[in-house]
Amino acid sequence: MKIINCPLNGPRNSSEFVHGGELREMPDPNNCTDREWAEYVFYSDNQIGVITEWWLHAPSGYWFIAERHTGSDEILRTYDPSEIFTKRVEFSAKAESSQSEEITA
Amino acid sequence: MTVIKPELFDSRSFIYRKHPQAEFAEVSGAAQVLSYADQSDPDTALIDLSVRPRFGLRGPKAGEALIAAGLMHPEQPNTLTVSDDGMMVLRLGRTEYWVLALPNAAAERDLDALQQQLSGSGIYPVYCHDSYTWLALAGEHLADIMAKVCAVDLREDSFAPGDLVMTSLARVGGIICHHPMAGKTVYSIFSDSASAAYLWDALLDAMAEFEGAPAGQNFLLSSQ
Repeated sequence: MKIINCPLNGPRNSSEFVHGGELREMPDPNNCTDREWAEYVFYSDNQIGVITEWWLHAPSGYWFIAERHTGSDEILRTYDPSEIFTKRVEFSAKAESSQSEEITA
Repeated sequence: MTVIKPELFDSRSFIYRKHPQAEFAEVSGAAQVLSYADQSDPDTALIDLSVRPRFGLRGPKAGEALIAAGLMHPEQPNTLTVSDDGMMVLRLGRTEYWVLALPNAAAERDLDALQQQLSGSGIYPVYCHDSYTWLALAGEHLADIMAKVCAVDLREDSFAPGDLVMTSLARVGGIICHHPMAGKTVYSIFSDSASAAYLWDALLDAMAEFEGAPAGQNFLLSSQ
């Protein structure tokens, strides 16, 4: 069985882990186009090479980041998300235009 | 005097039907198995501690609050502390802790009041009582038994007292904690309550070749 090195729990069988998809920069949800948002949420590049991904260690509920080569399937590095996310991400609701409020009312 | 049975209480262990021949005592509004009738202590015992009181907390202020409340703070994630008055603190991540009352905990220790004290901004509750089963594997051959169901090396030299691992055992996610009690090696196992009955049977099956048997919490209190 393959071994994945969890930054919190150490080396464990890959069966304890769940893939969480590619990590990429989130576009501003209030100002991006629908296409840009769909790219972010649904589509992956599927390139051969080293990609950065979310992984979950399921028994501890711990999410971390791994750099994996999609050709060799080798995991080059795993680390805690605090290396990238240094502060809480806040979302502000988009102000609806007065016209759409009249339609919904 | 009424005989204490799990059916007398609204709160019950997830596997109370598996203890038909047991003697119970009331522990925080539920029935805890003390011992099984007509049984001498086995070499290795599996004990259901699910009804014992515990709570969890997490957040950036959780560690400081534990110290302020006079509890022993585990320095590293995946370690635990046990105090003289029977309070166990698990550190499950950088900012997540569980606080548990072991069977030898001082009776006057009120965990509800302690939980109230450990709240405020920067601290969030973690529910670990009604969603997790608590089984204790105690006695001899524990590493050999666990090697049959778990891929992590749980022998003494790599899994010392005070260590805990979060891993999969018998294909179920769980937390395994190493804490000696009354001169015995004890592995406390926490797992999702939905798989409690399965895990109880799976562990008893793994223990069978080592003369293991179910027991009550008295097994953890009597020194050999």
